[in-house]
Amino acid sequence: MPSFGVIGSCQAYGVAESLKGWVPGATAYPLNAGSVAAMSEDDQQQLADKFTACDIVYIESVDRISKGPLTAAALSAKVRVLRYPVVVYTGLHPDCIHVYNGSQLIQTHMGPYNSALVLAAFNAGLSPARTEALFNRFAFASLGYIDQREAATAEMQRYFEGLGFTCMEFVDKIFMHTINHPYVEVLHDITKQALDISGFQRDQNDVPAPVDTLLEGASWPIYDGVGEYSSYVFRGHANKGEDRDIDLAEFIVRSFEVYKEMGTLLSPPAVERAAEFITSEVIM
Amino acid sequence: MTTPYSHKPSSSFWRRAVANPDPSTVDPVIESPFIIESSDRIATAGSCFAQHIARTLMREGYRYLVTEEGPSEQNYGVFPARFGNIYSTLQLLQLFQRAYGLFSPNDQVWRQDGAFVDPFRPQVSAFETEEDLEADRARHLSAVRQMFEKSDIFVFTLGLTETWMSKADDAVVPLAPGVAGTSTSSEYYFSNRSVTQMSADMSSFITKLRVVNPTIKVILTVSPVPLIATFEPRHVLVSTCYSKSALRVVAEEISTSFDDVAYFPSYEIITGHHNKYKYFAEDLREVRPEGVDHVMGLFKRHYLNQDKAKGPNPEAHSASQSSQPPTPQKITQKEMDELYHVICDEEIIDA
Repeated sequence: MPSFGVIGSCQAYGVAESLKGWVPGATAYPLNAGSVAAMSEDDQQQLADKFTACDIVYIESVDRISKGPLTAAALSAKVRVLRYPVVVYTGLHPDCIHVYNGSQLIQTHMGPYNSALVLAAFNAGLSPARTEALFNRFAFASLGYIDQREAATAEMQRYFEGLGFTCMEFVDKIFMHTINHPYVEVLHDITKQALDISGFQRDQNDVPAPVDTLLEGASWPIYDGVGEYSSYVFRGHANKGEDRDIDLAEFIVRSFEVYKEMGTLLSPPAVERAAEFITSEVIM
Repeated sequence: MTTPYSHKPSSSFWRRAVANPDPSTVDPVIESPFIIESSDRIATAGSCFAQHIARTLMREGYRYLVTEEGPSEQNYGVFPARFGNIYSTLQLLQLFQRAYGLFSPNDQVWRQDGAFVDPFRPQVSAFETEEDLEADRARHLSAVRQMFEKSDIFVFTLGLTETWMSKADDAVVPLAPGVAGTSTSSEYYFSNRSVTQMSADMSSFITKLRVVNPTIKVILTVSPVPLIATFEPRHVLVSTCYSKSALRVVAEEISTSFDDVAYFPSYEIITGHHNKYKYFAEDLREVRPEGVDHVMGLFKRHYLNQDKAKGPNPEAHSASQSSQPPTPQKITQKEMDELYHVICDEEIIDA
């Protein structure tokens, strides 16, 4: 039975589980690349030895390991490597962004995810109630949120095709929990393609996708006009228990509380655009 | 000998198009830039004359959009949402801005006879508590958003230039404080809007409207109903002339500067010289049913596809268009009753 290595983001775990489904009896070793930097050189080498013993190592196309024996370049000298696409898609969650305070990723109820519109409204001094009132189609259309899906889809198609993959199976559906957490069915489809591209025999039946572990994480709502259906339930990580699901009003209040505690936050372009929208359209 | 006017159609000549024809057959519509299909969802707003258009569309079986439903005795169904009459261009723009969270006026509640009323639709309903009012307003503004986003055709009747605005934030109310409810927190001032201001209001409104509904078509009309009263220190006749003239210019400027924005000349049909002011009732203000029928007959002919289906007018640009308008329909008691149900809340100014 073949053995597979999988190196990438948190998505690597879903790919590894999917490999075991598509190729019954196979072994698959996932590695979150983000954990490598904190490892000792010996630990890295031990892992590298483990991966070079695999039949193939699937590595996300975005390099997250910059040095050592676990880089794509180092591994490809010793073992067959196939780069596969990491799924990052803003088309369904154009308001969902990461925000930094220096090098610190700001955590909200949604974990590392923030709303560009909420942060811009906070910066502009709007009240939570007035911020909530901006969550409508006029703001979304003005901010380019509604058109973002088409642009993001085109970008994803270009990116996937550049790696020899296709996203056509899922890109027209609702397929993301957040901007970088895809449904496991997406990873399952990518895994199937990776096996076919690399020539490994797989189960030709419609193998069910593995358990979606990313369901434990946050799930950002899809806004009005962006998807076929919309809601404003902000679902945080499962470890929040009964407090996991909160509505828009509560999410805004809690986000404001987070921002009040922070100093000057870095404003990503999405926040700048939202700030311009507020300046030009909102009567203070 | 030919002149630049030699090849102009009969509709270009006063004698042939206005003075000579039977008054009920005068048709000042040359061509309509688009047709309303039976599948189109239509919304109307504006002064009380806009209610006639709404009623005709409903009666004719067109898809008159109602996004806020409820019993008619509580003023539901008069317009798509329960916003009441919208008299001024800035009131319309601010309705959009309030609906989309862009404007949150300082004055949210007025008092009237112990009840709470919405300053922006004081005649629509009175509420026992402020909370009831706020909950209803949230539903209402949601319905307004639905209207703007779902309608294919938006018909707006420009009504007044004279407005009352809050000193706190320029929020426009349809009726001056004291006429229907009073403010306990803000003072209001009188403003007679200029053409420049109103064109800017309408331009801003249509631009914003098309952000949420890029394909919507707009039909502008000017209310032929004179002012019930003027706050200007001058004769009401002079103020009426200014108001209608300015609104007509705004309609012209906007309809010629935006695609898919049409001007429908209901104002000219009612007030034109051809009928010697006979379309007005004894009070010289209320429009008689015959006048409404003349207007709506031409509206049906030129804009509603069911009449177009009877066959195109082969001489759309010729005199025959002016000489063969639709035959005025017989006025029924039901129509008379409907006219009396048109809600003109400004009339309480002169009560």
